[in-house]
Amino acid sequence: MREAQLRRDRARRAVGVLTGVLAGGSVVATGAIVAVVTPGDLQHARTDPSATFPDGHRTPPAAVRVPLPALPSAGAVAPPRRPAAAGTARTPGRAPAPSGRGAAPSPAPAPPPAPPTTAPAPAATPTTVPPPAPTATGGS
Amino acid sequence: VTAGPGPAAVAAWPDPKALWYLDRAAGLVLLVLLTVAVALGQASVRYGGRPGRDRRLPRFLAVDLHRNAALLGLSLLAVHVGTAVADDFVDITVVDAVLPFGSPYRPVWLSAGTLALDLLVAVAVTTALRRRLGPAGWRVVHRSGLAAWALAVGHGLGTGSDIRRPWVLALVFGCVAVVGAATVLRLQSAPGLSRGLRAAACLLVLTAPLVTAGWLRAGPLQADWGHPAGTPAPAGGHR
Repeated sequence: MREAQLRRDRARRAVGVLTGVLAGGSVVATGAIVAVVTPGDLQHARTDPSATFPDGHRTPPAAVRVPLPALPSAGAVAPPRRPAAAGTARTPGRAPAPSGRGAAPSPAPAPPPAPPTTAPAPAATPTTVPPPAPTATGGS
Repeated sequence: VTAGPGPAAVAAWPDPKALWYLDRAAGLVLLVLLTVAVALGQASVRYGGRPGRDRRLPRFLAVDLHRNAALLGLSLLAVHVGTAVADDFVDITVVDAVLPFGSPYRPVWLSAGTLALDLLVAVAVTTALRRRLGPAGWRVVHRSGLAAWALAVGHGLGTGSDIRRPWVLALVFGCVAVVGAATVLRLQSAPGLSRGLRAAACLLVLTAPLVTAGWLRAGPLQADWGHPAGTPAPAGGHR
């Protein structure tokens, strides 16, 4: 009789201990996962703003990609860091020129349709004299 | 969604997304607790059950720890659901958390979690009312706990924002392996099942992880899973 009672007590204690381990482990594990997951996400978000979309996936869904081109304009806050750059300063729209043609064709955003052949003339101006006038005309 | 927060805003730790992260972490730990509860429940039928059966599992493990793990799981489920609703990073209302197919955010996968929640609450309530219901009625509902666990796994894989992390995948498949093994053991001693049916059920349990792995490769592990999963466009209304 007493032995059965002792066994029951021991079992109850064992259940209590195991339940405590489960409960404590759950709290610790939840905290640890937050600590592990969060820095990873934030780190990724620093390099890719799209990562902050709520799906939490590394890449945003296609539907979300549409507004992303607007982000460079938000990044346009950064370019002001180099205001001195004369002709090349106005890149925010499409900074990477289609194909690297070298340094000379900086007035790439040039006039509308055809004047690529006539362009050499304005292209020459930057090399000739630093004055602001030539580049200023380049920007419409 | 605040599109493209600046680096400074992102770096700040008590982050507006704190609840979102807590929600995800609670979901993962909840899956482990449910796995413990389900596996112990399955094992108790075979090993800790009635007199005359194999009683290798002490009763306190078979019944009491099973119950406590399930209760802990329910409290963590409350945290999981509460943080999902309280957090405004994703639009999930209380109704969306209880009724399936209400939320525009990944409706199928969120609904899997919603159904799992409903089933688990039903299991808890019928267990509390077990004496009034009688063993037969209680058992019918209680068995749906396994379905709730499976739905929770589907919810985690389909909605799971962290499923592309290797350790999360390992954790989920570990849970699947534990419950799969417990289920196979239980099926082998299930009364009223013919040999063929038992073998078919075991085969189903064993092949399910393989099918799931194939689906994962084609779906949730793909980079743009958010779109087919049903993540609405930002203009569609999160936050």
